[in-house]
Amino acid sequence: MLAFKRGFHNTVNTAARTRYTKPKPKHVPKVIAPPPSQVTHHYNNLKITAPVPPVVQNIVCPDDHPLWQFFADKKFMRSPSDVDSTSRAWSIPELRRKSFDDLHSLWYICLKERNILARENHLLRNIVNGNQGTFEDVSEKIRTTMWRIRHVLSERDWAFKNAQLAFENERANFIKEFETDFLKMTQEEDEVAFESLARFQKSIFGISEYLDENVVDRTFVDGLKIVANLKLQKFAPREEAIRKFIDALENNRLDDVGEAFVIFTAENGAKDVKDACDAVLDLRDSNNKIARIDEINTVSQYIKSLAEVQKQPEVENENESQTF
Amino acid sequence: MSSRYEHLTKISSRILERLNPPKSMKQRSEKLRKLSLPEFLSVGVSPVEKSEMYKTEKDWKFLPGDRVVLLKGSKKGSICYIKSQERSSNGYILDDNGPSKSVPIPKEFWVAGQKSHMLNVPVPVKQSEIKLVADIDDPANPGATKTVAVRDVVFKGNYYDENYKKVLPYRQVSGMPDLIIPWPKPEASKTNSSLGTSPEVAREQTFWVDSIVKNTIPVNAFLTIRNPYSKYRRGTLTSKDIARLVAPKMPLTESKKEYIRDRQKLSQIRRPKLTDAEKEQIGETILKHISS
Amino acid sequence: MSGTSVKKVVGAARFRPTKWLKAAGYSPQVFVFRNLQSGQVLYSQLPNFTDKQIDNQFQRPNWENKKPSTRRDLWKCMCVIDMPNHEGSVQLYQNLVRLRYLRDVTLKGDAKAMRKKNGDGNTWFSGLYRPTYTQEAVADIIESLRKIKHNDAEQKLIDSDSNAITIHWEDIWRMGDKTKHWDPLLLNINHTEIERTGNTSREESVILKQLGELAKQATDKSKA
Repeated sequence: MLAFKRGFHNTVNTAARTRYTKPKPKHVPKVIAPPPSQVTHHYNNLKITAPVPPVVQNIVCPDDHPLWQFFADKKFMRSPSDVDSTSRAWSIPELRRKSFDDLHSLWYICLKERNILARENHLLRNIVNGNQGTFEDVSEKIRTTMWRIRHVLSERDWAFKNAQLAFENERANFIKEFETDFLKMTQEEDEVAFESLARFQKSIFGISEYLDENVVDRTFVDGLKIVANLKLQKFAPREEAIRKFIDALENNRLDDVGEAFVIFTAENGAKDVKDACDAVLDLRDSNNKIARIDEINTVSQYIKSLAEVQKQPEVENENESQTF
Repeated sequence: MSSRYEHLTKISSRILERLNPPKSMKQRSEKLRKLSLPEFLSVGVSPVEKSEMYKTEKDWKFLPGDRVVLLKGSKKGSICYIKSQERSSNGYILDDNGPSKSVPIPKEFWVAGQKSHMLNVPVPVKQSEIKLVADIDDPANPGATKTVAVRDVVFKGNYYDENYKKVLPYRQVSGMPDLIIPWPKPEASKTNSSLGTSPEVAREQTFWVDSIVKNTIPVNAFLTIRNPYSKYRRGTLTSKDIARLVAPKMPLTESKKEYIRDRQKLSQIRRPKLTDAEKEQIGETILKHISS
Repeated sequence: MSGTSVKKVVGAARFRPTKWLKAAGYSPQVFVFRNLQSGQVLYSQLPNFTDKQIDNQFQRPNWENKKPSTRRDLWKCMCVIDMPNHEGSVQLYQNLVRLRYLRDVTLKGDAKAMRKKNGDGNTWFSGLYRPTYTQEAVADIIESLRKIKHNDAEQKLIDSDSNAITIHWEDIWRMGDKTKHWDPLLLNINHTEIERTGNTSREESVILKQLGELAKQATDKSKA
């Protein structure tokens, strides 16, 4: 079979399309554009201006700023005449007379002053290029005071410890001596006698008149018993009931700490002590003797509850304030 | 040489001390120092070593307020008062009669009332260049005094000086122990005792011992009162410490043991004792030998 | 942000219009952050910022104005500007960014001329720090606020009777002389200082959040 690959010269004309067809429109992809997120714009009349420098006037330093403590009279630097160069350091004998609280505050006053002087001295050295020793000399004097304070406190502690050791041997004698002196005093001298008793209990047993100061330990409990017994013996000659109460005791001494506490807290008067004795007798019926091992715990509980009672001002017991 | 923080820490100063120029270089460094300092800032006298600086009144011999006579220089012979001490150079600055130099001063350093660039500044003088001047009783016409220059002063004994508020030595004329030249009265400085405590408050006693049981010092304060780790705190050695510090006994070597054994054996050997008869015999032999 | 790569952007990275801010519950505020190292300043619509904002606001980095790092510890909030409404805050932000562009690109020479120079004729600096950038930011804040107030008559961005614009400064020192720079041009602007105690880098986000809450309460009150 022959295939006509080639047309005749008129094929083009005969095969030509005679009718016009409109071409399909080109495909345009659909645009799903979101509305613009930014509909607002900057202004067009903006101008750049000169930088605004910060000003010191805006800074207000409060008068109670902690760093003022490093300045004397809020001055950058004192002139040498403003510095106290005439005063001397505290001497050791002077410091020995001062209590711990005084020394403690003096120490901090010195420390603050030395800080001020160190600051000024540093400025003098590095900014003013000075070479005077004004600030350093004063600072050195204050430093002397400071080491002396430490020395005095250390010395005081050693003295206390040595005294404690030495007193151990004297203790029994001292207590006995006080007892005889105390009981010897007459009824007219009661005020003096009980004042000395208060001092005695504080000095030997550490029983303070202020409840919250007290630390309950073995010494405290022993002291409590001794003081209670002393009170009983003091009022025994004046009140028949108390004498009978003592006679009924084993060895004529009160040994139970609970009972001693009741006597101890009683006011210093024959009647009060007698009432206390009655209260003890009542308590004794309920038979709650305190073992020696529990004494410290019990007494500290008593003290704690007593302190709480004192703290709440009770209307009923208003004039019956509890003091030892 | 000095560092900017020398007054706060000693570390850098120690290093700088080591860097100090050797003695042979000292002259040169001194020259450089003089060149680098402008005239109005330089003291005029070379500073002395720190160890050679005067410390006590005995070193200084003269205090501000003393009258001295100049022995050297253009103002030789003039009598002046000492105004102050120049510590760094062991010098004395005298009043207007003393030596001074005219130096140009830049305008930023002008003092109030200054009109010229040139200013007279005093030059410190050394101790060897001045002698103390004192008024003593004139033996020639009694009742009057005469002004003399003192060759030298010596010091003996101490007393508490009310003016200086401290203990000072007596200043005597050398060779004349009865002639005491008192220290000058210090210039009445403005008494600023802002740090002082009034005597009543200072003497008031606030510490009383009232208990043998309770320490007045709180326990927490002790860490700041005493340093528990102080190198000066001599503790007592516990047996544990001793065991740690003492070296254990070395075990004996075999040869040492052998040696000891030998020694023991040797010591066990009984040494023959001389009997009386033997001694007699020896004596006889010796006698015979001597007499023959 | 533009280009073929699609990247999810969150938070402060892109511009947030009024509607978004309202919906997200942000107060009408503009936050200004300051680089502690270089002194450069960054504006943000939200109490945080991203690297995109740094790219956007530092378009011509050079040796004097290097592109700052994103290190969070180097940026500290310099001030927070409370605007009366979201339209105002958005406008302010746009103005500030525009002014930055003007300074960096369009009017580069003019901006440079106004800076303090050192001996070599360069912008004054100490180490890496150039204080001028912070000072320029203050000037820009003044300028854009002033323009907003000025254009207010047409745009009604701000109620003229309420003085609801408040600037909370980290350090009031930085705002400059009030009588000279602020009062003549902008009346009725409250300046307050953010409390210093606790204003550390760790607590800053909390402080900014609290400021936002306060601003929200204030706007609620004024609406009611």
